[in-house]
Amino acid sequence: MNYSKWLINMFLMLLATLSFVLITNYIIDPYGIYNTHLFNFKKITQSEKMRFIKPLVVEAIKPKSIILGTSRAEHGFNPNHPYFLKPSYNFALTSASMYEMTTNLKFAIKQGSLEQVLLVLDYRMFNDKNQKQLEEFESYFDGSRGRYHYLYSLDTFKDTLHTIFKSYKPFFMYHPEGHIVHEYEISKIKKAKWQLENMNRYEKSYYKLLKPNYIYKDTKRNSFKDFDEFIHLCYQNNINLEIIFGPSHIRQWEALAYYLGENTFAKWKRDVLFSVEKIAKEHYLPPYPITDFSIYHTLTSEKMPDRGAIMKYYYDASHYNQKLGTIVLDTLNNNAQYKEFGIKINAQNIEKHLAHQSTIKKNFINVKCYQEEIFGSKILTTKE
Amino acid sequence: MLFNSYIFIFAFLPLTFGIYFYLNHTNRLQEGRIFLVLSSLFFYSWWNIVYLPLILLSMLFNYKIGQILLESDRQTSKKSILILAIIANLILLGYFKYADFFIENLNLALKSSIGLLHLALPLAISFFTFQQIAYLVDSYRQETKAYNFLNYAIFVTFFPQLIAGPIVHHKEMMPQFSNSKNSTINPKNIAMGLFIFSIGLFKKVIIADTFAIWATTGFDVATTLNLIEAWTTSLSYTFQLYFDFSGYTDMAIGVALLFNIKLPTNFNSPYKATDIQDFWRRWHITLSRFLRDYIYIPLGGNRKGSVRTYANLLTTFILGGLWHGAGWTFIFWGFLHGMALVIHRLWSQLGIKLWSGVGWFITFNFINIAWVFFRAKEWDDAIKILSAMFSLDNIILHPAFASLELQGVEYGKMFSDIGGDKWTPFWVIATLLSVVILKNSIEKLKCFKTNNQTAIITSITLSMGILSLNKISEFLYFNF
Repeated sequence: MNYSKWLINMFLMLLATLSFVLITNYIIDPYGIYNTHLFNFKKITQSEKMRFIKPLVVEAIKPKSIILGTSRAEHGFNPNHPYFLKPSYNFALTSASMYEMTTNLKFAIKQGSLEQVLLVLDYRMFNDKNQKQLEEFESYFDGSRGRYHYLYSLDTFKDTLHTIFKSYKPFFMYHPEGHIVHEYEISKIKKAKWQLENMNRYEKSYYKLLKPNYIYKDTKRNSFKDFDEFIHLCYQNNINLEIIFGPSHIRQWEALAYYLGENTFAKWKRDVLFSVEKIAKEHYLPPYPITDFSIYHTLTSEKMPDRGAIMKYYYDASHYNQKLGTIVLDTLNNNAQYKEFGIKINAQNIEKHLAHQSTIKKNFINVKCYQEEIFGSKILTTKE
Repeated sequence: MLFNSYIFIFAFLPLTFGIYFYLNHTNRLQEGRIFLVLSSLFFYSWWNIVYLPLILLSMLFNYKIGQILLESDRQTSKKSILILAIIANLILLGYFKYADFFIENLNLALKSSIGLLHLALPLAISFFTFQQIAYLVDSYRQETKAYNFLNYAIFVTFFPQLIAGPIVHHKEMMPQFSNSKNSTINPKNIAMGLFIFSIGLFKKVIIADTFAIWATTGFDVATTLNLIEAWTTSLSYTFQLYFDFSGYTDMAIGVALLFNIKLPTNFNSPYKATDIQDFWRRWHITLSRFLRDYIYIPLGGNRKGSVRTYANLLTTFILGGLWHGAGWTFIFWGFLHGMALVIHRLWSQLGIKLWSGVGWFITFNFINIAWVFFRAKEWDDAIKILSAMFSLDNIILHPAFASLELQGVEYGKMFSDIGGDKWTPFWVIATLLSVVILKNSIEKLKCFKTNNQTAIITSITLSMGILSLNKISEFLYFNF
């Protein structure tokens, strides 16, 4: 074969290979962003790519209402609930920081239809190690990566192959509305044999590396700057915002207290509230409602499961399921099923509320026993 | 601009190639060369145009001094001019590359608080400075010719070798640039160029970037490592560095071939080396050549007794370490290699021959351990990796081995702290075997044949490389 012929053959094969990859990626659509629906393979690799998939969906559906928060919000809240204006979307992200949620909010506002936001606050959002979890996070919003950007990628092709050959897996993780599939989590728990073992391991390390200073460790930026911007944006764009402290299990707050101090969690709630009140005054408008579901209650203190059993409301102490999420949304929708679940807090009642929680705590959890169970004999009560 | 970017592969390279050969085809050779220089400067400026005047001034200055050195007859004044010119080059390099390192150490020694300059390192400054110092020294030795400025400018700026070498020598480049036979399109060189470019791109974006994930997580993110993770981290960096650098060099060789220019070989299976001297004959060959010809030999080489030889070796490698980066870890890395070469010389004098397998094992492990210092951002990072590599208190094995009930061994996820999975050990072992057993890319190029096999290999590696330029990051940390 002479050199010229070799070059022609090589270029033709190169073109064929690239075309094959592009077409296969498009047909299989591993991230569900092209709506080809030619084969109904389950999108099992979607879950690792939600940071770019969710903006593409938001751009397409232009939701009137969104849910923002971390994986707790992704697990717990179904946007199909009557509480939300339709179309609605769960725009929360796993391990999201306040910076990332503010970026998501700006993008949702930019779509022109947004009227309602449920912000599910998580202490971790204000103190995460990283301001953003992926270096190129902003590029998902600036138009430099349209949905066709992902066609010519070997990573997409790998996911295409996974989607074809591993779609026998029984569950995939996300609903089209952006919330996590319940059955997937249940299958994970069943695989682990005993839910409590997993929970204990999880609680032991969850807050270990956090610092109670509202600073992202990587950029040294104060996360309250992002929170304040978030609130300002809502006022400026006439968004009907509702803020909640989510109903994680009370064991979660003991894990937090162990590493970060007994009063840290309460202080954070107070700081959030005063920040919202201050910004409301600047806009001459009433403060956005804040409801505390991170409270001592029969729901949030569900008994730990026996071996082989599965908890009714919790995947682990941090994550609650949509049954509990629905109770929360019903409460917000003035259709409360449980007494004293969800306390509306404001500048007038915050101290009384926090003091009450402190008082009733002993009725729900034995701190010493908890610490011995999770952290062994080494007892630390506070580290403030 | 990087070779592994869409802008280079789909815009810059085809346009430059097309226009250059069009100008040559229409007998405008001079314009073709001017175009090549301008394209190379555009390539250089793509990253940051601010430093364009720097390379232009450096080029003009050194060309002029080279002319003076060639034309001058007075030996004493020539020597002074050469020394001053070398100092000027080193000041430029020192200012941009070493100023903050110097200030930091001065602050530490004098307990002062002089502010750091935080200068961005101009692209390729280490390469073009060394290249031009070699030119000056050879002009002083009357070993250069009266090159015209255009050819000199191509020699310095020729974009394939500009930003990461190989460190080319004027003797091997100038005749090629002035040879009119090289001004026409040569399908053989295009085929061979694309073949080696595709291998280089594959090495860089598929192999090196895969190992980079484990190396970066192990060095920069993980706070603790188990024994296997620590070895995986160090080996990952050893492979990352080799495939990254040699891949980039392969791409440079390939791109230069498209323009009918042959760049020197820079890597020759360095991890096959059976002793440390052998390693330095195979690793970054053009740098070794520069260090030998312009530092080691002028210092006296091995001509002034054994003690001076050892001192010269150590000095050369410490300076070599410093050339790689402004930091004590780089200097220490250079010192380690210098010491290894001294020990190798002493051992050679004993006349005891090691079995080559043992020699390889010692050499490879030494290189792997020394790279830890080269990669570590701080001493603590190096200590973290090395202490975990040699501690038996932190062994975690897969639960499949739990039935062994080994004392002091935990059972769990073996690679979780470096972001690895069950395939990680497979990749590490397969890569180790491949660098030791397989032919390297230059050997493959030498026996290149135009058949279906090479066409398929080239098209697949090239398409995989191109498709890997568009990385899609994963976020796997679900539980928060």
